[in-house]
Parts: sequence; structure tokens; C-alpha cells
Amino acid sequence: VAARLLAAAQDSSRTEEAEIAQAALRQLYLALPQPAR
Amino acid sequence: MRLHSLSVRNYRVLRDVQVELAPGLNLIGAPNETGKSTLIEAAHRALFLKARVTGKWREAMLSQERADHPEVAVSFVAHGRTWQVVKKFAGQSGQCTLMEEGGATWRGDEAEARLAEVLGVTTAAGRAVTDQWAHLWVRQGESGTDPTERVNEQKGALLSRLERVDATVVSVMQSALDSSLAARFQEQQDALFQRNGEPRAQSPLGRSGEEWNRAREAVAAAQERCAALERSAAAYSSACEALDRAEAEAGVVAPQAAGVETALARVAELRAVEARQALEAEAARLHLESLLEAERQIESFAESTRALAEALAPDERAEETLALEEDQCLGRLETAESERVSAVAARAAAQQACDLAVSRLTVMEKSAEWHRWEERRKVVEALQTEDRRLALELAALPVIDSGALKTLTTMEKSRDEAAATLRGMAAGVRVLAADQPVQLDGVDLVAGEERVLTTTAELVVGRGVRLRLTPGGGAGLEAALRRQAEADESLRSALTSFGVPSVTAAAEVLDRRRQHDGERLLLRKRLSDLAADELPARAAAAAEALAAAEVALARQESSAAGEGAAVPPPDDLAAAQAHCRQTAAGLTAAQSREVAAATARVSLDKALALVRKRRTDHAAALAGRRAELERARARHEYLVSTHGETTARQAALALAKEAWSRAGASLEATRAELIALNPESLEADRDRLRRAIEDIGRRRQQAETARAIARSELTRDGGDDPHERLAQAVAWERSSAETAAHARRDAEAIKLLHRLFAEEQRELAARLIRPLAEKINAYLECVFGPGAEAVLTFEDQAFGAFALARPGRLAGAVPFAALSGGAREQVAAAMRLAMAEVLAAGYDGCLPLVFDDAFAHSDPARIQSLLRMLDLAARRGLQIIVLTCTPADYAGLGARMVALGAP
Repeated sequence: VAARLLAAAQDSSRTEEAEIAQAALRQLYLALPQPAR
Repeated sequence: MRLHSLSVRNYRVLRDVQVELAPGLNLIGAPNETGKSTLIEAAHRALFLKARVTGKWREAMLSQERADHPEVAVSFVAHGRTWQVVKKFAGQSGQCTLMEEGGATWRGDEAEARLAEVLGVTTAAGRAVTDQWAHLWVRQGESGTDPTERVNEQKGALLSRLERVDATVVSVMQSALDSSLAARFQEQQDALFQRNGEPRAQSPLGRSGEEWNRAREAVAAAQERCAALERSAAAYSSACEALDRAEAEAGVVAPQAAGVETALARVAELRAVEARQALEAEAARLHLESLLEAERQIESFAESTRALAEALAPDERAEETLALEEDQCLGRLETAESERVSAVAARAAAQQACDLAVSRLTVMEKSAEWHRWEERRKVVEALQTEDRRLALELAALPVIDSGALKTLTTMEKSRDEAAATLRGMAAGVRVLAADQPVQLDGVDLVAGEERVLTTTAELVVGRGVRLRLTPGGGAGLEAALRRQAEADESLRSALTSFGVPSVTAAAEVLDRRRQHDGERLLLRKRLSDLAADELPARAAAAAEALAAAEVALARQESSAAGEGAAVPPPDDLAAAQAHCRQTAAGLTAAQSREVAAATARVSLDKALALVRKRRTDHAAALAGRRAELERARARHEYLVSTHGETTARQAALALAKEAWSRAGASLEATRAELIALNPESLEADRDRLRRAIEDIGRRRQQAETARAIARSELTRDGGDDPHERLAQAVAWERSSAETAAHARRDAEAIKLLHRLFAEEQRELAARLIRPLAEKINAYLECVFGPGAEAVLTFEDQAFGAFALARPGRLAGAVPFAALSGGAREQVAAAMRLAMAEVLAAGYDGCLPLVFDDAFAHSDPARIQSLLRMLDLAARRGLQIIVLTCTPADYAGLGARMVALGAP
């Protein structure tokens, strides 16, 4: 899932989809367990 | 695991049955009620039901005929070794023994536990016995039910076997992190969106959207407020300008309206004067016209009186001429009437003479006719007298006809024949000469006399000779004698009845009767020719007609007078006929004269009537013209007496003409002044100016109202700056729009994450169950042909509803519930076989599958396809046991045939 999101976030031809994918990557990162947190 | 043999005793209908099973295909075929299902149920109970079971489970096993305890032994192969379990279901004292070939033996609970371990089943409390291996044991009536439930029952074992095919998939699917992330994103999506995809109102997305909507509404309201104030300012200045224009127009229009009103007042005054003068002129004109009319009438009546008096003279002369003409007509009419009376009298005399001649002729003709009838009557009387005489003679003769004579002749012939027969048999005695008295039966017999002896007779000759003579014939002679006597008696009796002495006399009587009948026939013919029956009536009628004619003649002769009576009666009929024709000719001539006289009289009547009508009409017309003359004279005298003589009338006419002329001149002067004022134009101007003043007033009022409203709008709520408020609203809208965009992007990100996780999980599930689907497809292709495949889903840790897809079917995949009864049986069997094949990996690659009457809805052709499917399962290592009551349908299966006898 992360790989598919990363590919979409780097697609500069589709700005809105890329922004949504970047936001999704951020959500996924926040959902992953963070040892420091 | 593979079943090897079964042994069942005292189990319901089964007394003692032993069955050996093949490793692959087995067919237990037997009629209904022979215990097929009972046998396979007993094996199931031995494997999965504890021996010390009580209650309904045990009662269901008991035989109705025998009191012995049910006992079942099953031999099977599992884990590379052969096992035998023996269970005796005796309630609390039930026994279980498990033996491993070449190894240990277990009993009681240990045996039960070891057996469950070997079979790989759990015996948890509450689990129904019938659910054990239900995915392998297809009982009657369950073959068409949806197998998805059975698949999910075996889900754990199936996934355990499938993960060995693709361990990566299962590791991912069962990852705790993966599951927690999926659950988190599912939860976040549910918190953000409703089921229909709309944002939830209380979510950040919903709240930010709602705030953005409010900011946009505030911007719109502030913009509307600014626009309204600008519209009010424009309206105020516009209303002021309109008021100024109205005041200026009113200053021009008001004087024009006052001048028009003054001119209209003068017009009204002149119209009153004109009306009065018109009345005066009209009165003068009427007076003058009445005088002129009277003058014209006086002259007219004087002229018509003269003309009528002149026209009356010829009419009075014509009246005299018509009176003379009428007198002449009356004279001619009297002459014609005298001629007609004379002709009528001549015709009456001729009629009388003719009638007398006709009567005399009639009397002579009637007399001649009466004489003819009288002579004929005398002839008829003579003929009738002769006929009566013949009838009397005929009545005196015996009644003999040809039939009676024939009867008598026949009877006489019969008697003669009987006499001849008797004589042929009898003896005859003839005295030729005798010198002594000879007596035969006491009767003297003289010489030359012959007697015929038909009976014994005594002949005495003299005194000393007595001879007894006996004729021959015997009985025949007696019969002949009897027949002769009978015939003689019959003839005599018949002659007596007819009243004749002999047959000859009867023939004579018949001849005489025929002669009399012929004569009477001739007499009657003559009488008929003479019409004897009608003769009296006709003679009487002739006499009566003669008498009537004589009476009529006498009456005419007595009433006749003059020359008619002087004519002597004719001597004969010819003279009478000649006289009659002569008088008829005279009558015709007299009738012609009478008709001519009557015609002349009628034409003179018509001429007189015509003259009289002309005279009457002329007299009426003359009287009318005289009356008209009188009326004209009276009218003329009346008019002169009313209007005076000629001089006075001329003076009055001159005065009337002068008065009429003066009135006309005054009226013309008034009308000229009115025309100069042009009243129609003045009224139009007044209407136009009134409309203009009203329009100016209306516009002034509207402008004042608009100015007041605009002033009110401009002075109301004047505490803040609307442009500043608009700028604040725009700033709020931009801020909230940005916030909403962030929230929407974050929400879309959550939705994207959820979708990606679900897609990945579906892909993994598809990879996981692909081996099972491929096995099902292999079995389905045996039945439904190449390309048939199962649509199998695995979502949310469970197998979903199953569907069948077949190539060339436009309807797409058909859900299991929508399949036909036969197709459901076949598809369910394919799924069970595939599932058993997957699970068999944990049982040395083999598991037994029992199909108890499982293909009842399949037609014979489809059963042949099923055989291929079952054979494929056996080739792949499964043990197949088919129970059927129609084993012939499975002849091509190549299975071991296990026959069950009568229980």
C-alpha cells in the first residue's frame, strides 16, 4: 500500500491525486507504531 | 483415511450385515426399505457416537423385532495403519473397542478418545453428532442445499491446508499490524463518511464544510447589503429628478386646460339656443306644410269629383243594355221549356206503348213455355207409372242373383254326384214279368218298374217266396247313402230358403229379374234425360211467370188510355215481336228528342245565369263608383268649409312662408358660431389635458413615494460600514475554504487508504483460495463442459456465496440459489469433492465421501457426466461410496457393487 501511495504522490501530472496520496502517506506514517512515541 | 469394511448387527432393520469396501469407487445399490441408508448411518454412529449413549440416539438404533443391543464394527485405514473399532450400544453398559492391527487395543473412554484423535475430530460438548464429517456425509435430501455453510465449518482446516500452498499470503493476511491498520482506516472512514458516502456532520470534514458554507452565505449577504444601499441611493436621486419634471409639466398644462373649459361653456350655451331655434323653425315648417297639404287636397278632390262624374255616364248606359239582354234570354228560355215538356210527354207515350207491346210479347212467350213443360210432365208421369209397375213385379219375384244360382247349381251337382255314386254301389231290381204279386219291402212292384236297393230289402213273390236282397258295398254304401241324404237335404233347404221349387225355376227367375232390371234402367235414363226431378219446379215456375206476365199486362192495359189501348192485341208471336220492335224504335226517337230539348234548356239556363252575373257585377261596380263620387264631393266641401275660400287660403299661405324663413335664418346664424368654436376638438383637448394632469399627478406621487422609501433605506441601520463588513466576510470565506480543502484532502486520504487495504486483502484472499477454486473447476468441467468455473469469494475471514459461471451464457455467473434442482446437486457435489481433496492431505491423501441418493434430480445424461466427476475424485485418491435404488444408472461407474439382501 505504501509503495502504491508513494508512486501516486510523485506523479506531478495529477496534482490533486498526488496531494491526496501525500496526505495518505502522512496518515499511514502516523498510524505506524513509533518506538520513540 | 479410507473405510475398509463394515459389520452391523441388530441395528434397526439390519439383522447381520457385512460389507467389504473398495479403496476407490463403491456402489451400494438396493431397492428402497432395504437398509442402505441405515448401513451407512450405522458406520457414522460407530465412528462418531459414544458407545454408552442413551436416550433418543440409542432408541433410534434399536430393532423393532429383536431385543439384542445394536453392534457395529468398522475397519478402516488411517495414518498408514489399519484400525478396527467395535461398538456395542448397550446404554450405560455400552462397549467400545479400538484395535490397531499388529498393535495395541484400547477400550472404553480411552478407545473413544483415541478414535477421535485418529479421525482428527473434536468431541466438544454441544456439537451435534450429525455435524461430524457432514461435509463428507451427504444424507438423503441434503444434496441440493448450499454447501457454503459446510465450507465455512471447515474454514480453519481448509486455510491450514491452503496456507501450505502459499505461506506468504497467509502471513500477510494474519499479520496483526496489517489487521490493526485496516481496522484503523475502516474506523476513520466510518467516522468521516456515512454509508451513502456523504460526510458525517460532526466529523472534521463535515464541520469544516459547514463553516465554509456559512462563510459563503455571509459573503453573499454582505454583497447583497452593499448592492441594496447603492440601489437605494440611485433610486433617491431618480425620484427627485422625476418630481422636478412633473412640476415643470404641470406649469404648462394647467393654463391650457382653463382656456378649453371657458370655450366649452360657450359651446353649451349656444347649443341650448340652437335647440330652441330649431324647435321654432320646425313648428313654422309644419304649419306651412299643413296649409300646402290642405290646398293640394282641395284641388285634388275637385278634380276627382269631375273625373268620377264623367266616368259614371257610360256605366249607366251599359246597365240598361244588360237589362235588355236578360229579358231576351228569359223569352228564349220559356220557348225551350215548352219544347222540353212536349218532348217529355211524347217520350212517356212512346214508353207506355213499348211497355205494352213488350208485356203482350212476354205473356205469349211465357204461355208457350208453360205448354212445353206441361207436355213433358205428362210423358214423365207415364214413364214413372211404368217404372212402378216393373218394380212391383220385381218385388214379387224370389230374390235370386247370379251368386245364389251358382250356389244352387253347385249343390244340385253335388247331390247328383252323390246319387250317381250310390247307384254305382246299389243293386237294382226290375220286374220284367210276374204272374204273381211282387212286393218289395211291402210295396207292390209292377212289371217294368225298377227299384234301386241301397239297403237290405225283402222281396216277396206271391205268397210263398220271400227273398232277402242285400246290396254290396258295405261301409262305402252307407257313406254314399249319408252323403246323398246330406246333399239332398242341403239342396232342399236352399231351395226352400230362396223360395223356388227347383234349380231350373231359380234360373228362370234370374232371367226375369235381369230383364226387368234392364227395362227399369232404360226408363230411368229417359227420366233423367227429361230432368224429371226438376220438372215440377220448372213447370210451376213457368206457370208462375205466366201468371205474373198476365197480371202486368192487365195492369198496363187498364192504365193505358188513348191510342195505346186502341191497338188490338197481335194474333201470334211473330206479330207481337214485330209490334214490339216498332214501338221500341218510336221510343228511341222520343228519347232523342227529349235529350235535345233538355240540352237546349240547360244551355239557355247557363246563358241567363251569365247575363245575370254580368249585370250583378256591373251594378255593384256602378254603386261603388257612385259612392266614391259622393265621398269625394263630401271631402271637398269639408276642406273648403275648414280652410275658407281661395282668397283667404292664399293670404294664410303667404304669412306662413314668411315666418318659416325668419326662423331658418336665426338657426343658421347660431350654428355658424358653433362650428367656428369646433366643439369636438375642444372636448378632445379637454380629455387629453385631463389625462396629462392625472399622469403628472401620478408620477409626482410615485416619485415622492420612491424618494421616501430610498431615504428610509439610506437612513436605516447606518451604524456600520457595509464595505468593511463585506471585506471581513470575504476573509472568513477564504480561511474556511482552505480549512475545508485540508479536511477534504485528509478524508480522501483515509478513504484511499481504506480502499487500498481492502483491495490488497481481496487479492490475497483470491490467491489463498485459488487452489480450492481450481479443484472445483476441474470437477465442474466434468459435468458442465470446458470453461465452467466457480465464482468463490473470501471476505471478512469467511467464504461468501457461491456462483456458477459458464461460457457462452449472457446472463453471467448464476448464484447457487438460482440454479435448477439438478444443477444444485451437481455443483454442491463438486464443491464437496474439492473440499475433501484439500482436506485429504491431512488424512494420508484420502477421505471417504458418502452420497446417499444424492442425484435424484439429475437426468440420465447428466448422471453419465457425474460418473466422470466421481471417477476423477477416485483417481485423485478419494474413496467414493454411492447409495442408490437405481444401480443401473451407475453401470458405467466401474465401481465395486455392494448388494444388500432382504434385511
